[in-house]
Amino acid sequence: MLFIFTALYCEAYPFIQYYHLKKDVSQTRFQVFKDKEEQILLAVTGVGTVAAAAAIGSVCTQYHADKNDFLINVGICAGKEEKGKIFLGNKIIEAETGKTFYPDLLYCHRFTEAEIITSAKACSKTESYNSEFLYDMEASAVYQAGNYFFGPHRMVFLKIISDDGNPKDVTLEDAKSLVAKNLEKIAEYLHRLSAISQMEGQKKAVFQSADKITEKICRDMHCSCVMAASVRQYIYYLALSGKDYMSLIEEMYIEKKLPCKGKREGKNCFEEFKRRLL
Amino acid sequence: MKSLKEDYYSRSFSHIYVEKAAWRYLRTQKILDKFQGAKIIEINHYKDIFCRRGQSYALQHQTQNLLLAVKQGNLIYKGAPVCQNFGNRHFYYASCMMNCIYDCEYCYLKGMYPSGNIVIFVNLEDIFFETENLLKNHPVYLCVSYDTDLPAMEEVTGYVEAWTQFAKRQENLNLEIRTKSANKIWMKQNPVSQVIYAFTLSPEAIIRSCEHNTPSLKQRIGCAAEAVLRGFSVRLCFDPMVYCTDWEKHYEAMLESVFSEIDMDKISDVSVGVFRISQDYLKRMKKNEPYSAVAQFPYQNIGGVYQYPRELAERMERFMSDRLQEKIPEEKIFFWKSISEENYV
Repeated sequence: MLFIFTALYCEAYPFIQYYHLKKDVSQTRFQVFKDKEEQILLAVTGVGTVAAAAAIGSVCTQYHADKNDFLINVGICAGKEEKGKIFLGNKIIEAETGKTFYPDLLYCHRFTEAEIITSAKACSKTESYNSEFLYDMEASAVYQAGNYFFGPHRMVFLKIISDDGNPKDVTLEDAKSLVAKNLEKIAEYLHRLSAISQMEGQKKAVFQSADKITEKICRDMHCSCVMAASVRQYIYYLALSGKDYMSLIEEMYIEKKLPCKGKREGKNCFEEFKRRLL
Repeated sequence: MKSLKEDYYSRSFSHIYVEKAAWRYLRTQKILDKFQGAKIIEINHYKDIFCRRGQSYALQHQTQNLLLAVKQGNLIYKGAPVCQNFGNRHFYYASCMMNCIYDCEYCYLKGMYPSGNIVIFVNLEDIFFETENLLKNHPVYLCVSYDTDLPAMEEVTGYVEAWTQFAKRQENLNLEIRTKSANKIWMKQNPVSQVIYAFTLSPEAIIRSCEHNTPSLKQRIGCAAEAVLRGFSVRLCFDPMVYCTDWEKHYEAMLESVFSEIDMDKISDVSVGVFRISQDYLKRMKKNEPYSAVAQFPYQNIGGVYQYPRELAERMERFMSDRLQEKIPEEKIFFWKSISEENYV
């Protein structure tokens, strides 16, 4: 699943329209929207680091984010380049602490990369303003809170320039149209991420059939917990090495070695099972 | 049709992370010059990238990035008990690079490091200095290509040449440079007696199934044979021996190729050992390589080291020992001995 987080509803609106997301009315603390297939979930966090961290902690726990999912943080930011240009964050600096965070950049993309400075205050053109960076108010918190659920290779930070250090000039309508303008490009990238997420999930299938047969054998061998773990390890190995372990197991059933009558017989049977394998 | 990798994943070395302190070294710019199209990101410390929480070693290895850093603290380490010391009392290893461009499923680095990215330490001279300090006390047998494959990266780093030149100036230093590479660039130097080039050889079936991105057996044998012809000291490492269906047939075929192409009389020595790994490393390796048969093999824990079941391990080692002794004197064949092996007997 793709977990998209925006600070403002107006930043979320183009996604809600594009993916036909429906509001999850059971949620009262944060606005959460989902698609029918439950492949995309979007949450509006509110502005600032505390709000972002709280929303990510809450939403990712409730919706059981796992290691094959992706977190995508999309929002407007300040920067010197042209208004409306979108960037992919390759380094995030927390202004208050100086801590740095690095999302992995393992997937092909068509964005320009940039470093993001996250600050508790909206960026204005003061002495500390450095035009080489993008300035936002959530990315560092999104990374830190998100890292409890996602690895650095599963977090993506997309920032769209809304102003050059003059946040008062940006209206909610502006924010909405800036996201909408980049939506096709973002959607193309999200499509890739979604495919990668599904691809990783499919790999698990090899263990599902192995788990079924392991359960049956363990029952028929009267396995203890330790022995069951050992049986599982053998079956996993056989499944991954492409050996025809099913024939071997069937053979043992035909020879009446399985099912066993008790624990002692089960133990002897497991020893023979191992001998036949290697 | 494009492969999924081409479609979805970035190319290797698309990003290079450079420690602030590394900019002071001329070598940093030289290495960067080899990667013209790469995006460069400055970092405070390599561990800010290398030691992040929740990284995917396997995915990072697919699309490896490079970190250029300055190594601090301990620069030379005592050899680990799971490693072969070839009868050398003062056995050490140096880590001037971390991780490898090759992707061997059984590699202990997958259990040792949290990241699949490559780190090159640019302050090689500091490691030389520490080696010189050690040499003041006793002779040193130093393995410099354990946590990486230096010859495979020679075009980028030039570290094989640098170590060889350094070794030439030292009296009591013996170096081992271990590799699976068939890169012959280091052969442009003259042989130096204190430097031994150790070629890890595996059957083609093992290479294809679990030594991803490595040269074929034929290429490795060709490289080792040429090194022998040119007078370099060459060690052949049948270590780790990896179990697979019909392992005897595969290892037999490999040995036949070795014996027919390499002049075994001129080989310095041979190392033999079945796959083994410390329990902590295997735990992490299994997590990093959930779909690898080698990582998921049901090993036995003997004294904190996971190994093949004793009977199988003995069969594999005996087979290799018997065949090797037909071509090379017994005293030149080194076996890895488990710490608790005596308890077996």
